[in-house]
Amino acid sequence: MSQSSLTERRLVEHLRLGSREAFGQIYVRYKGSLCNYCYWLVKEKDRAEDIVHETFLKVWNNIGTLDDSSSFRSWLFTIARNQALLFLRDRRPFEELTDESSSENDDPLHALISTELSDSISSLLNALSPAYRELIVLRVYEGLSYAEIASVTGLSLSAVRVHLYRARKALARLYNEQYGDKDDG
Amino acid sequence: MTGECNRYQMALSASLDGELDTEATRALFFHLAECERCRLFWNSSIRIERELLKEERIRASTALDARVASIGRLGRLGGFGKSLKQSLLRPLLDRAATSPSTLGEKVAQERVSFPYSFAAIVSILAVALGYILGTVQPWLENTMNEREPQVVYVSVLPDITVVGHLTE
Ligand SMILES: [Zn+2]
Repeated sequence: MSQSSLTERRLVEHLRLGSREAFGQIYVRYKGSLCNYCYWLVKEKDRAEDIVHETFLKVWNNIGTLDDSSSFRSWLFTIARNQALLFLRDRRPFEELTDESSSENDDPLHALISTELSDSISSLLNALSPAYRELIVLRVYEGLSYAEIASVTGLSLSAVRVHLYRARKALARLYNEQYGDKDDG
Repeated sequence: MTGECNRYQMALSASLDGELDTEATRALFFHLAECERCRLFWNSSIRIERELLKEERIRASTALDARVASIGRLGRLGGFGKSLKQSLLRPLLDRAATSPSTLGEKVAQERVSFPYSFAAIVSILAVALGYILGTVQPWLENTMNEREPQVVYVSVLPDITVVGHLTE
């Protein structure tokens, strides 16, 4: 059986044993997702690639610390997220969401640019504040489950659910302003 | 909008994510059948996701591929390598990190405080490492590249002709 047909879990097991081929396959599988995720966090393509490089360096050196191979994807995104937040720490604030803030009245829309929408749908994402945008990217682009998003962001499952709803609500409001539908309420 | 609609729209969002159980999904669709406001939210959300997924994604460059490909060529940072780094370099790195001085002052400080015995150990290790790498590195490279065919080029100027593949 060729390694390409191995499940992710077996790839991770091979990686644990030091297989560079497994490492390469995991990289190929996730490089696009991680570049895209990190780009939406730091908004600079070159820095996003630096972060992805750092992430894979840590994966190679620290795979032994991963307890459960089935949680590899969350672990990978968590490393990337930590690297990105480290980069952002001195540059611009990234106000993380909390379980409590899901019940508050904070606006998911980024006040500064919400009025400067261009034709591109991705400008809607730009109009979201970074922490809400991150949830949409993880869910819609990268296809992570609520449990995985909770693991990556440190939120509870119910907070992930509420925040994603709020992010969608804000996107729908912008979308309907931009493209002419009535207010969705 | 009623609180009921709020609850249904939250369920609607979870449903789009495949995170709603069957019973709740059924209730949601009953509500959608009779609530135009929630239908509008449903339609907008679906359209937005479809549009977002149509957008071109950020791709990894070939430069990143090359950087990541070089990871692990000399094995993992663990075992002997890690303990060596921690025992010998950690004190220096810690001192450099805690020193509030400028880079120039840091370098001067390191020069002054660098112990001769430590320098002797580093020199011996460097010679030994050079010897080991000289013999082990080619073997490591061969081992890691064993599945990659080597292309043999014979140059007949000005063209270059590929005449075969060598695999070890
Ligand atoms: Zn409704």
